[in-house]
Amino acid sequence: MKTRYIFAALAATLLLAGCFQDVHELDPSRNVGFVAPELSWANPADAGTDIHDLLVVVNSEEGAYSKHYSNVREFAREPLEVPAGESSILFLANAGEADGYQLSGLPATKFTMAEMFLYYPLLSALMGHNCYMGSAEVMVGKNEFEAPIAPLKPVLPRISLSMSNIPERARVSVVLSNAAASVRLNCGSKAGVEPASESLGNIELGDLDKGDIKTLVPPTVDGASTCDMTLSVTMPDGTKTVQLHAPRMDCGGEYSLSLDYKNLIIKMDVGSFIIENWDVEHSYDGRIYE
Amino acid sequence: MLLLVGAVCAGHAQTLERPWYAGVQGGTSFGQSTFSSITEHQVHWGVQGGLFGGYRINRILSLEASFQYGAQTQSALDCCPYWLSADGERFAMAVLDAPGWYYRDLSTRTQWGRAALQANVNLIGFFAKNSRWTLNLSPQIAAVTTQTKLVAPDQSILNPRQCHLSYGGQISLGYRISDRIGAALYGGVAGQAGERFDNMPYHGHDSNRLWDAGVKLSFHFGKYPKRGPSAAELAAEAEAAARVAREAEEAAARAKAAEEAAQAEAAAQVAREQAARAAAERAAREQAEREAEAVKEEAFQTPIPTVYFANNSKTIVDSYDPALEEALAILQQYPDFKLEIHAYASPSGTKAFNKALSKQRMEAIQQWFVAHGISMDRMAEAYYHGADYKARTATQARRAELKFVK
Repeated sequence: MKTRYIFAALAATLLLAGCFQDVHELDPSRNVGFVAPELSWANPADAGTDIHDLLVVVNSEEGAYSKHYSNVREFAREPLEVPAGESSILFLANAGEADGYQLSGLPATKFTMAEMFLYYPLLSALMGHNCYMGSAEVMVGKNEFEAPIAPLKPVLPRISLSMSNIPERARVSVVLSNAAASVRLNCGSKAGVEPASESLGNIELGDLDKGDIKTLVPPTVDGASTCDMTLSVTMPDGTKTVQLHAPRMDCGGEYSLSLDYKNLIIKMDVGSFIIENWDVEHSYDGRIYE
Repeated sequence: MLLLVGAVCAGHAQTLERPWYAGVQGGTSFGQSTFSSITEHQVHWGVQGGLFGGYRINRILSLEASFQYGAQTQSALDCCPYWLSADGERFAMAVLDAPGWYYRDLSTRTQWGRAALQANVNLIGFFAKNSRWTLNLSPQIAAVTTQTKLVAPDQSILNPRQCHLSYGGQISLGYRISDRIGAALYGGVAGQAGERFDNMPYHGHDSNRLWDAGVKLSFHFGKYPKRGPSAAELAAEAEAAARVAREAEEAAARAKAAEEAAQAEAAAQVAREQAARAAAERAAREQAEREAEAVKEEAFQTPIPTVYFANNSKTIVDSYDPALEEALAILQQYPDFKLEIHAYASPSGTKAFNKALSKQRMEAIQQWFVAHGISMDRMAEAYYHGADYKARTATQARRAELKFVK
């Protein structure tokens, strides 16, 4: 009889063997939550851009830390671990030194967030290689899982200049004069990016007589109400310049300006003009992706 | 249904003697892998059914084989807010510019087949020999094949078929409605070895199991074949044989004890008889001894005639031989007897002469007995007195007196 009871106990044990413990990986005992930001493109035209460098900066009341990823798949493989409570997260893509950028003030782990600046010493080499920035504000409880959407916006503004009816012997060059030397990356309560107040000096954007100018430019320095450009028209008999005051260019904006030489030459004697007052022959299109 | 009603109406003549059974089973099924049929928000009821058959070895144990087919839908749990890329890799979040789906927007539909072998252990059988009720614990091993379709918002993907070794079991509560019909409610769980059957990437859950629950209807047939005694019967027989043997041993022991008692009694009787004989013999011996003692005493008291000598002679005349031989016989018969001798002479002659003569006469008596085998030790008390002045006559004085002493 005793043997039968033993056999019954074995049967019950085997029966229950299928009900083994199911342990979930997201069950830490620490006071942390998890964030899985969904990156997206603020400008659909940027879709498909290869992200080969991604910097993530998490800032919370307990301090800040940063982490580098070599691609988006690597970043997406694990959720971010953040202290329970409010956190702000900043994403900076393709802003490594290999892309011509330099970053200062990157926070060390668990230290209070310092001011971060992004410089672009090799601006002329950037060509079409912009970097991108995104941010997310999250409130996450212990062991909770949040998935905020973080649109990636271009950091540097992009300008497109064109001029029609340029005489054959004329040379029209464009110089940008009040561009910011760097942009300030804010990971605080309102994560974002804005131009610094230090001016980079004159930047030659190119010659319109050789074709349209499409290039990245630094944003207008902080505090300036207009973006100042100097257009120089060189003819065999001399050179005339005119100051062009366009609306300021902010981070991530796209600006296009179509000029007509015939209308411009009339303004040459004035010495400067403001785009806003231009008539219909002149066109201005400025857009910033929010 | 008619069959069930008929079976119930057939009455309670069931004997539970039919070892073979077969039947159908069916009910619902659930899956739990990366996705689950039961989530925080909804329950996906699956369906399953099949055939089974078995053999009841005894009221406790039966072996059963079954074939089942089932299907169920599973979806993501809230604790798994993951994203599945189109290439099948799991991520914690959507990968920029890569196609994929969120887990919460996906579901899987799994179809499975199972060939199982299980042992049913009827717990009620431990306590009731002929109960209609059964409560089975049934460990089970099985071969399972699964095929899962991933259903995404914009498309569905059929994954390759998988094969698993399955382990788990069932618990069932059954009732024997009639001689041939039984019914049972059952529930089971089985873990699936190998790949996750829903084909979703692993994310920390160790689950990969199928649950099923439903009703079994069974038809019982056959008879237990005539066979040799069962182990229980053999055990009973052995126990009976042992009991008989014990009783025989006890009877033998009792007989042996009685025999030993009889033997003891006989021995005691013999002992008593021997004691009686010994006592009688002792009494006889004592009587004989007493008689011998009396004879001895009589012999001791027997007077020995005085030996008279001629004048100036120390020679013992032959006429005294019979008397001396009689004394000799008594001395020979009783070694503890001794002979006391007193020798005298007549007053004629000198005193010294008479002294010597009486001594010679004493020695003549001693020599006669020594010559007939009596040692001098037994005649130590020999005395010569010289002339006897008290004798009436000289003839009476010339003598030697003898008597027995101890």
